[in-house]
Amino acid sequence: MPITDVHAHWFPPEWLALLEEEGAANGAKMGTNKKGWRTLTLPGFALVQNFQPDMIDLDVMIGKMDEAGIDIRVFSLTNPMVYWAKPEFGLKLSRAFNDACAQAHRKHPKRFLGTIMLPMQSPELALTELERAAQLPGMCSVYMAMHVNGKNLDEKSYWPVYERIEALGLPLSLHPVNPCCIERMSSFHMRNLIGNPHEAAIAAASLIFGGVLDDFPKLHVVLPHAGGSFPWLSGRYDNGVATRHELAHMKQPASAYLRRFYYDTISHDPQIMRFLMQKVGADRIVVGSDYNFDAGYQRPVEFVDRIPELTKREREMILGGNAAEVLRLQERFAAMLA
Amino acid sequence: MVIDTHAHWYAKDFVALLEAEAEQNGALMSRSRKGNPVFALPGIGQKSTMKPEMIEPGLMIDAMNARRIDAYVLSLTNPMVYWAPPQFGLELSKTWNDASAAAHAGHPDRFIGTMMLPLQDPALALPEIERAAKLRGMRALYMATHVNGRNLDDKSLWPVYERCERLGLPILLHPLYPCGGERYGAQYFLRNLLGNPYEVGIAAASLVFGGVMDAFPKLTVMLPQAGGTFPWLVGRMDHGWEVRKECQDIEHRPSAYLQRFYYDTITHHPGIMRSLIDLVGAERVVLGSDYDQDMSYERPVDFVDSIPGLSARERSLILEDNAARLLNL
Repeated sequence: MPITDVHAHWFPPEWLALLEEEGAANGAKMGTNKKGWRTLTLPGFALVQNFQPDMIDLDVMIGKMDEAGIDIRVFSLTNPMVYWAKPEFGLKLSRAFNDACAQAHRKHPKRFLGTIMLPMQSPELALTELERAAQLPGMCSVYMAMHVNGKNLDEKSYWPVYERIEALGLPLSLHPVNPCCIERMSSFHMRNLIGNPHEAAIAAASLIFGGVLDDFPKLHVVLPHAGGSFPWLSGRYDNGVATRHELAHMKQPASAYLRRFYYDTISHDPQIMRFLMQKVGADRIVVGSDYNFDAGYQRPVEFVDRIPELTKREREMILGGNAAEVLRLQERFAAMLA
Repeated sequence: MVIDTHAHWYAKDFVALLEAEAEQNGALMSRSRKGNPVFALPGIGQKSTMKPEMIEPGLMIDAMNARRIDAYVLSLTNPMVYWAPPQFGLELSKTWNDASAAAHAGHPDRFIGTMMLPLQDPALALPEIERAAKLRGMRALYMATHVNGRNLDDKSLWPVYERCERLGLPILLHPLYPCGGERYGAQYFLRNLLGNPYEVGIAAASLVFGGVMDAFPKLTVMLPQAGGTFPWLVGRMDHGWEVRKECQDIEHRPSAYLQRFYYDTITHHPGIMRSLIDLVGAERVVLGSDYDQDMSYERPVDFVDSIPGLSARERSLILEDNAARLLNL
């Protein structure tokens, strides 16, 4: 089974070109940092996004994959994604990214898969783009931030999008963007270290308590950063369901949904990874690298090998088997497995 | 002696002072349908209802007996005192501290006191810590995870930490009006379920990365809600320390500070509790019940007994010995 990294970021040149041409009219400020990389600043976003060359150039990325022993990388956008833009421009940015992913897959059919970016600030436009992008070669998942301009994922206007994602048999891959409570997070890189995992706890709670996972029983969700704070708070969620009127509508405890999620390996602690496997099952863990940020793994496979008492079977599942399962590689991308 | 380190008490005198003077100091007082005092702050959705079970020492002793607890470590919870103009914050603190000492004097085997300070004005807090530390039965400083939005590495708090260390007072932390309200809404109780543990994570990270634990090497801190998100994110924090310069102004990697903290048992999940014990050591875990809220344990000792693979030694550490060490009993 190919070793598959489900959490890797790519800024396609076509997407960047569009940003350069039309970003300013949508409130984006492009700049250049000391290293000569282009940067993007947005009002209300604490993070200035750098566009580093090794996250743009596909040949460089293939070299890095070979070095790290990764067979397949699943591409996704990251901060700031596309929700900040006016809906029409958000659609344009989404299309540019999705088309670029398909192109990357065509060019390197055994190495790259893409995730579908959608302009969720307009669910109607998102639905149109979903139908189009799902037909493109190499698209294996739908990518979504953990909130859409401050709206949590249980927003009813997203239901038609979830319905189509489920019907298309695609998993939903989540990622934090612009985490909340930024006023308390300015020191010590806490925005990333604590704020991003907190977003996963909010997103998972919204999907569970908001009824998304009940209404779409075949929908699978991939959480980055090993599920963030979510799995460790599941006991609290369960107690809330048992005692609180706000959660009286719940038919099952929150922990019954733990296995509706997949969790990547980005915990940065082998022991905590083992605890997570005990909690959710080794068949729910997939490799993530967070390529190519300093918060990620240069050697994601070596991290997996450091998990205490890892069996050969668990190793195979985590490195490739589980990703193949959730992304339906056998069914949809059999050529990648040949 | 089985000690519950996380039990909330609204001392009668404290409630009376709120009822008499909170409104002229900017808060709103009302009564619940059952006739209990309710405290609110303008613009903040979270209200504090002060029910008899959290006021009357006799009812609390009954609850302790029913729950197989020998002693409660008494603490305030929301609204605490930082919301108030400093002088009133001091008055509230003094009232609570005196009541805490009186509760101990009335039932020396059943109640242990903690100290509240008006940290919105450290100049007022410092004399009160010296005064209250001399009160009988006062074993810890109680403190929120932030002071009106300031994180705990704020330099204005360092003289307080210096006194705590010198006086041998551990700090017991507690969340207060958690940040992120705009995303929690009122729908699913998220403010408590995930907002509170987030606060604890921010507080612990601020103490570690902000150099407080380095500057005060004998300072001991207890984290409620089993440390919140902090222990589970320690790998991320270690990695941050390796690669980010803003995380490197400390003596050790963050995981080396795990044993500087104590963690209560409020995970609501025996398996997660087991993982926490394996991560931080059974010597660092103390019984907590969060008396008397929806998120508390009705049977805190039974919860400890449900932890998988609990040894007799671990059991006695968690129920008795660790708290005795933490509180210098």
